[in-house]
Amino acid sequence: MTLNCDAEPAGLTEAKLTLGKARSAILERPVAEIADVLGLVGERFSDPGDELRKLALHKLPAEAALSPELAKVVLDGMAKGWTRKATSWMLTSEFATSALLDGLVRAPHRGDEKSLSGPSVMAVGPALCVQISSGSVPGVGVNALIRSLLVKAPTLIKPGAGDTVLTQLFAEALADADTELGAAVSVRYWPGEEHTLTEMAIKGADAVVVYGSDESVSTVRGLVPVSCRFIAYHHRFGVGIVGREALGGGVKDVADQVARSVAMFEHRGCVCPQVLFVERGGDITVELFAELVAAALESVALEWPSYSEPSVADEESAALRQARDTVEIHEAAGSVSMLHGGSANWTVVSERELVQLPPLPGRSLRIQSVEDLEDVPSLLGESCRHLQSVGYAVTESRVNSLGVLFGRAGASRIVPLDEMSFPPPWWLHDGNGPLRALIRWVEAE
Amino acid sequence: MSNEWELLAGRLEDCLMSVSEGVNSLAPWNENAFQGFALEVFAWQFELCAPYRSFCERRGITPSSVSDWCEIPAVPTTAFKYFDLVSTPYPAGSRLPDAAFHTSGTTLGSERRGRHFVPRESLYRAAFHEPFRLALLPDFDRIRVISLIPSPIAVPHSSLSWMAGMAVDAFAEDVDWLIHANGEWSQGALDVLRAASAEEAPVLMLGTALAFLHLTEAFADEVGVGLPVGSRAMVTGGFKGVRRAIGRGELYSAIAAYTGIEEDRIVSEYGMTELLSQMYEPVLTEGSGATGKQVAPPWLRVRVLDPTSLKDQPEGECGLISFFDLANLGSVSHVITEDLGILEEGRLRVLGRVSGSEPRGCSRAMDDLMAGSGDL
Repeated sequence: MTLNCDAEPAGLTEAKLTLGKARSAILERPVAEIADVLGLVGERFSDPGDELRKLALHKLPAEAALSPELAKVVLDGMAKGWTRKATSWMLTSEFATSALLDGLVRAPHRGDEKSLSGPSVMAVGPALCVQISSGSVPGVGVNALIRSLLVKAPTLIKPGAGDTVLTQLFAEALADADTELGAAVSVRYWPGEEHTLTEMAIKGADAVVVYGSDESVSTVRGLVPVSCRFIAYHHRFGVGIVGREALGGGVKDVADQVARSVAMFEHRGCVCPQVLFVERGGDITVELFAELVAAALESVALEWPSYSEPSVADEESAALRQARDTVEIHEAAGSVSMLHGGSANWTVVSERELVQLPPLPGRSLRIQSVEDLEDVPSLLGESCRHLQSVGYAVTESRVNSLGVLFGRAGASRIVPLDEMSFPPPWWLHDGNGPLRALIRWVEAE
Repeated sequence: MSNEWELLAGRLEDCLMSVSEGVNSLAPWNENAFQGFALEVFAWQFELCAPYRSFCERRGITPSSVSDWCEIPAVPTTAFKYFDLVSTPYPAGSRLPDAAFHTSGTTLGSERRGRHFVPRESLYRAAFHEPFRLALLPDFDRIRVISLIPSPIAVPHSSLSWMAGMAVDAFAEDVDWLIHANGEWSQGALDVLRAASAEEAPVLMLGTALAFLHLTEAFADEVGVGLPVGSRAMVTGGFKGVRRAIGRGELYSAIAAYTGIEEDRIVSEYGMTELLSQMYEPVLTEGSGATGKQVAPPWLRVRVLDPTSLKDQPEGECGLISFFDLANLGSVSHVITEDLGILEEGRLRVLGRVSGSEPRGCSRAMDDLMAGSGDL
């Protein structure tokens, strides 16, 4: 495992040479064994007595700008996907048999009746995978490494600026646990705008995975040669939908679930709801529901405070001031109403009509009332291309029809509100299996 | 009504221009004079700008309830992106504003741009004239200007280009505009600099930090131009939207090395589209000791506030910069910026823009979807 936060051209080239040499050893290893090692290392982040977890919790707040309380919740949530059970489930969720990653396997039926004998097939991961991760959510880098190694791809990873700690700690622990797997990982950090280094890192890779803003993804895509597989996780957003039937008994629980999904990751994740659509006609009004969400955000702020380091807090306060005061002008005009936490960074804006609002920093939520949740996809319009998660609080009988509606509109994940924040490791990330996205199939007749 | 408003604008213009008659021409105004103007200006803005009036009323503030300009509600600069904050006595459609400036946007292409309408351009010109003259030309009436800012004809909605145009109108013996509206260098730009270097007459260069950075990089392979002794430069803006940001010291050294303009003759200007007045570092008159300390003209009051409570920060402590600009008569005078700074002995040290004020990608997608209609 190579660790270097000041990547420079010679170092990147050398790292890739080392990674290239590591491939043959991991190709010989049964993937189930690899999954086991990855899970064993990952489980250390959940073990309260493990020094690795302690170190992660010590370093995470400053790097990711999370309070220690929220950092712990984030680590616990992410690490649930890093266990032996989870890595094993990833394999079985995506492949009929994990043996497909170890060699040729007889395919049961492929093609027409003339092909009844069928070819043998095999799943092959990249000979060199470059993962360019994003900085807003800690743990994304570890997920990326696990995915890579489960398809036996030596990987050069550039974690996001806010996600170097967990990525590095995982890679170091992996190297301690298993020399061969450790040699198949190189963690390097360079600022995203250093395109020369990105180009150098990509050179020779046969798969490049990018997480980040549309601009970042677009830039990297321009650097990737046509012969290289390019997998992009561009910016996505989540929305919440609350049916009128959820505005009766248990409505406070729904408000609490909304608040937690907003506050998680300090509202930086693509799985966080940006807008909540609430159906009119329930036992309580949408305005009253907004007040319950505000109250829940206030409670959550006590349980999971925001990061309080002055320079970050000052900047966020300043940005909040700009946004909230601008919303207040809308409020004065009668088009919205706003509730906020003052020095606490939560803000809830209920919109009576479609208005243009400034981006709200911190734990913020826009609430729109709608006649029917079925109208929401058309309200979202073109933005559905960026839609990822839809968190719901509706009766079970509505889930399928709404799922079809939102899925056809662009969403890839329809989940209960309280499951929005931490998708399982085998989720169809932005519509594709995380391991299948990395491999290519080989067939031998 | 329009006559009364024009009379007030005229009185303000007279004050802004006549300060040059004093020996210490930008000395602070009598507090009563500023206070009187501020309350009068607020009364007009309350009456003429509907979104602002609603905002003030919501806070329980009316012209009759305030006795001090600090009590007048301030709008965030962000609001200029979402509302047409214009205070003109002329009915909508009866008279076009003299100018309409658009903010430049930042790194994200689809970010909303703010608009600042200027009903009376002569007031902008008056606010510009004396502070610029004292900061850049305390020793010359007229000078040759080489501008790295596109001309106002090329970019009519840029307040910075408009300002460069005012500088040229008022003080230029001759002018060369070296950058086109699309940001490309004009043909023969380097020849212009070389020709100016061969002369004896000093030159005034105008440009953004980014333009000067490009100048030093674009012609890096060429020999530096070496402008005549006494030349000076006005540098404005930061590095919004650029891939490579360098520190001020490094930039000024590069400008000095390439153009021959000494570092203590490089004057930093601080302004923004939402304000019609500007601030400068008076290094030409006070020397390098004035570096990093912006001076406001007497009609522009600066405060540094706690972002949450909006109370004045103690001297020397960082806070959100806010302004009350009498030259903003035609829009809203009391403005809170996105910038952090420190006040020291009445001078402003600008620490930079709040990084969190730029929208996140996810949010931006939501802005697009929630946009509803196009322009408000």
